[in-house]
Amino acid sequence: MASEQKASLQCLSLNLLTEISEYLLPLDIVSLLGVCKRLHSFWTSKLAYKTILNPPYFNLTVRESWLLLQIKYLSERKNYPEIQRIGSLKMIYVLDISYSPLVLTLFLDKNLSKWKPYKNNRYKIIKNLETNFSVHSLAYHNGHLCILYTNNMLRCLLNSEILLNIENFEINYLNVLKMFYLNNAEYLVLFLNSGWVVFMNNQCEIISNRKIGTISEYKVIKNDIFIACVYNEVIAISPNKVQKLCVFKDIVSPNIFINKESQKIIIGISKNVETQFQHKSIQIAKKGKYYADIERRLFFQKINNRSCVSVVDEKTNKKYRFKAAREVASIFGDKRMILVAVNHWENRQTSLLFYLWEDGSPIFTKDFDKNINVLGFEFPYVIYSYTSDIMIEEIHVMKL
Amino acid sequence: MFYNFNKIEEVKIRLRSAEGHICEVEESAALMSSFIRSMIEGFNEVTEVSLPNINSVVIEKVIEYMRHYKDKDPPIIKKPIISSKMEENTSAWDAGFIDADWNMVVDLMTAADYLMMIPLRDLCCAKMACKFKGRSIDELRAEYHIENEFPSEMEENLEFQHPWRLE
Repeated sequence: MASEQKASLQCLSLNLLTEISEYLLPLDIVSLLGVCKRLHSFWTSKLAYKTILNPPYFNLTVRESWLLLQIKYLSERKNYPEIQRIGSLKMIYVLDISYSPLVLTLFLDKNLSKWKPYKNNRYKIIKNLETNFSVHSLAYHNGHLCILYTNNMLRCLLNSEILLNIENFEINYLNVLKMFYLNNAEYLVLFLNSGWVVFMNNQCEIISNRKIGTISEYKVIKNDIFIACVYNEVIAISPNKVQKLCVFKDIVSPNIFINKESQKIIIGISKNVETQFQHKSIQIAKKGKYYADIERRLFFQKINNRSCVSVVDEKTNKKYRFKAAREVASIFGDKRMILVAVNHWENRQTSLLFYLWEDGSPIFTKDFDKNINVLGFEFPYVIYSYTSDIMIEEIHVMKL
Repeated sequence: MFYNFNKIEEVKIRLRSAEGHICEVEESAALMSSFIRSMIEGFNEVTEVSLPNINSVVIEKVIEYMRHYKDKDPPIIKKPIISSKMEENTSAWDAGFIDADWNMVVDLMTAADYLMMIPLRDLCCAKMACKFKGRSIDELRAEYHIENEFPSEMEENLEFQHPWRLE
């Protein structure tokens, strides 16, 4: 029986396999793809065929073809518009690239009653949530545990079911600017606009709190330690301890990067000097301004002159030059490609440039008439907002 | 003596199986198959159709489907399927009908394809999809006793190309 089943699975005609695939979602087909060589060969050739029907911008890998298929499914299913524009802060999003092949992990729909993480095409619905709430900040852990700060209330949700509501949270702590999880959701960290940092457990009980000041940037370096920039100081913060790492005299809000390979903390500052330190030693490393750590490859911006900047890949020493550019606004990438947003000198414009790692020539460019801030990127989606707004009021999703 | 004058004997089509067995089915039911229809309409007074690729057990199953739907349209199954349970994708009768072992579903699907019975073929495809839906690669390999054919470097390459494949 077993051998017969094997024969049946591997000898199904390609015509019937095609028919069967119509009833499956891409993520289900992905499993079939890996079962045996024949199925792998079939699905990849089928994908190549489908890709021809949907002209790509360049030669797609199987992975990208799958993403194209995903998009096709998304656009066919009306619940998932291909390019979704979010009109106000009442609509939230989570960029959880590691969890899903798609960047659009979570959306609240227009009725503010549903959130739709895209994983195996499942929806999650927040129950018993009134329709007039406004989400100000959110912490999202592994697709299951979620904290929302809405209407002066902290709501803790597990698998979209409300576990806990803490009312009138702002009376004690004012507004929550930012929340995130530490140490596999053991700690919830809240930045408040009063300058307090609050650590809570997953029952929303306060473990510790400290008044530190307004945190402009942070990066998690260990399970329960993150480093943050507060005005001109870089400090390490854990639930039990706050340690000053370095203080700059006339430099405010430097960028913080972590080199995962060397475990170095890199501070990007705005005077064409990079400072990097490991433990307590501080050293001047390179001239430049902007560091980005993409898949363990370090990039930094080198300001050549007033009319040109370049981004240097430290691993290959390859330079990406941008003429008439003022600065690099953001860099995103994965193992194969890099997306660079460049601000121009004139008219507050931003260009998006999309490169393949090895080739180095742009395969996609787009000019915007305003400055934009790229919030997330996962091919072929780019999520961005306009930086001219005081608050992020419009988030756009663009498909490359 | 009682005569039923209203009853007119319907023309029967004889389907000859791979083993040579004859299975009879009413013509109105057999016309669900575009293949049989073309045979009947293309050749006058054809009452026997040879199906050398289909065994008699499968033909009987096909006839059961034909008789059930000869006067009504089969339900349309949504693409993609919404559940790995057939009863949540189609009617209770269809789900019960197709609740068969793997080999029967494959044979039925192949037969439906050959006979050009699209609703039955779709039902089989949906059933097959239910067997695949939500299953990991390892689960599929274990169920169908398929050895990993990919050399390790190719497996690594696959993993690189599809890191999310293993979710």
